[in-house]
Amino acid sequence: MATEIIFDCDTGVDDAMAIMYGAGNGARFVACTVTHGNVPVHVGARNTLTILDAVGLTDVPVHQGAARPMAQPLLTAEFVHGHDGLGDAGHAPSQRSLAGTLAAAEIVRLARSRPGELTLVAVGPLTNIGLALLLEPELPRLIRRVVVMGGAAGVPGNASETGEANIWHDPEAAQLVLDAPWDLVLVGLEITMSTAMPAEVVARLEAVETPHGRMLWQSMQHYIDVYEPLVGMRTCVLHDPLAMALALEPDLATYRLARAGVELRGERTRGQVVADLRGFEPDPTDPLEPGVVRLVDTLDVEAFHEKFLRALGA
Amino acid sequence: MAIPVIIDTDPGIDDALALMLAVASPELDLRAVTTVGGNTGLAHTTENALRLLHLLGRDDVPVAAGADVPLVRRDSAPDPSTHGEDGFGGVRLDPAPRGADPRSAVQVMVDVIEGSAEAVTLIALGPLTNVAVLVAAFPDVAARLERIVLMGGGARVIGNMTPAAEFNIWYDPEAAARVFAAGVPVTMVGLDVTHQALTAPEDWDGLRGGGPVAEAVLAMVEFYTAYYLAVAGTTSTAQHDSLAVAAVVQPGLVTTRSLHVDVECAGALTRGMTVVDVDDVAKAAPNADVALEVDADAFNRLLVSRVTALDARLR
Repeated sequence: MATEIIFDCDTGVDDAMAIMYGAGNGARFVACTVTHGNVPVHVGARNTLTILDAVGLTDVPVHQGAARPMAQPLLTAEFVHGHDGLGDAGHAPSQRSLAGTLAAAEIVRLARSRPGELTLVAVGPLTNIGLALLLEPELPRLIRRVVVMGGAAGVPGNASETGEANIWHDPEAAQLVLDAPWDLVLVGLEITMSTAMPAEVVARLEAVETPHGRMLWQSMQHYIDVYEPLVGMRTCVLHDPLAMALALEPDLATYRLARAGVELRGERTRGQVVADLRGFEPDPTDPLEPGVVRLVDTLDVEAFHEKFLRALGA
Repeated sequence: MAIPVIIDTDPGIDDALALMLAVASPELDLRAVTTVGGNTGLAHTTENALRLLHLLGRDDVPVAAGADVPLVRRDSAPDPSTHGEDGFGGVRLDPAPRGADPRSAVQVMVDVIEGSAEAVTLIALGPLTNVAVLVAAFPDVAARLERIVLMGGGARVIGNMTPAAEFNIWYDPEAAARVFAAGVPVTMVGLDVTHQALTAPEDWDGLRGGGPVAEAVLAMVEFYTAYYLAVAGTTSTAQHDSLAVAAVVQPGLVTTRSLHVDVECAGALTRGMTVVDVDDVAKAAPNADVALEVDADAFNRLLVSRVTALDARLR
């Protein structure tokens, strides 16, 4: 059965990759909800429509959500994603209309209407999910599974020395999400930084001839410019698509359960995900325990890359 | 010529082995030992330093007591499960025929640094309270140091006391922040390397049937190993402090990178964490050489062979 997904995003180049990965790998998008993050929320909402349209998902509703974090000013990352959030590749924006309901309310409505059926994939700051948890405390019981791209457990950050961008952009919302009693996979930099595409994968991507694949390749160029000095070759890592992949096929990875929280007060560390990786006590066993998350232990990177390429028609 | 060193320490079992390594190493000229509260309280750490140096035949090295409590932090406490209430895991050494130097730890640091023709290396094996007072109160004297080599913190492997903080930095974060910001060259030997440089109980088999130093080492290692077995499920132990001394004896043992290090002093989950900008995200000027790799085998050989030779030297 197709995995039915609420996709919360801040589209964004790698969000676009994730949508295309999902579309090509059997995801059924019930709705997309959009947050501030990589770009302002109205830009991200328009981009989400544009990418959905590009893969023929013209009937998937897109709901605009939070315009800023809960407890800090808005910060966006156009230097990574381009001014238009899609690498300034000149793609015409979708003319489709946004759905009327606000993101957090729609997450709650959908979860209530289909209890236990929907998978929540969140690849932006967690403001919409945090708001939904505040509106509906029973949300964890109503959602089947949660996969979040966020955090940097035991590795350096990308938005700050210790903070990964999605968590760092709204630490309070992230803490609400980590504390909720649901089965949550936290897909952080500790694993996404291992997804840099090797040269042969990049070459196959470059040779893609499908319209949506061409579109993505063009949008990725600016993003690759950013990652080239970090990785040391002309490639990029696949943060958000990995969250989508693990929502669709959990068996691409193995996991370990860990206790984790978000530093909210640090002068140098606000927005850091702190996971207890010391191994002094046995790993927790109940994923529903508040503050317990699944971290990716091992990943079949080759299979992941292959599925990414196939979704783009390579 | 031997490198003049001051060792600031909170013995402490791994501190004891580190002091043994220093005394056993002709590359070092141990000018003074200063003590600080940490692994156990100051009264114990000072007495332990005196007794240990007596065991090693070095009653000539001044031992001066420093700070018992951190500069600011009020919720740090010694770590009796790792080192025992007395700091030596219940291993009783003979009393020294002398007491501590009447001068304070920081005054002895100043006197040694000012009295030395060559630049002195300060090896800090405990919380950095004394060192922070030195750099705060005597910046011109501290500036004459060759460098500070400290055991503490972590860049990628960040925590043992808490999930995010290493014990020495956790114990007195404000002091550590002050030391990293002092402008004195700092070499940080943290968990990234000490957790790789493990010794196994059988590494010490050559000490069996040996003299009083061997007997003390074996008994301390036994206590320390029991703790590791209970907590980490392994009998291999990290001789954290010895690696900091070894990094002065044989600098090539560790590979360092010049990075910016700060200390989190306010966080609810991260207080006492070293914030090491491994990927240069913050673009701040480097202020420390951070050890990221270690030749664990070479370290092990150095530590064990030097400590094993001590009894013969004392005979």
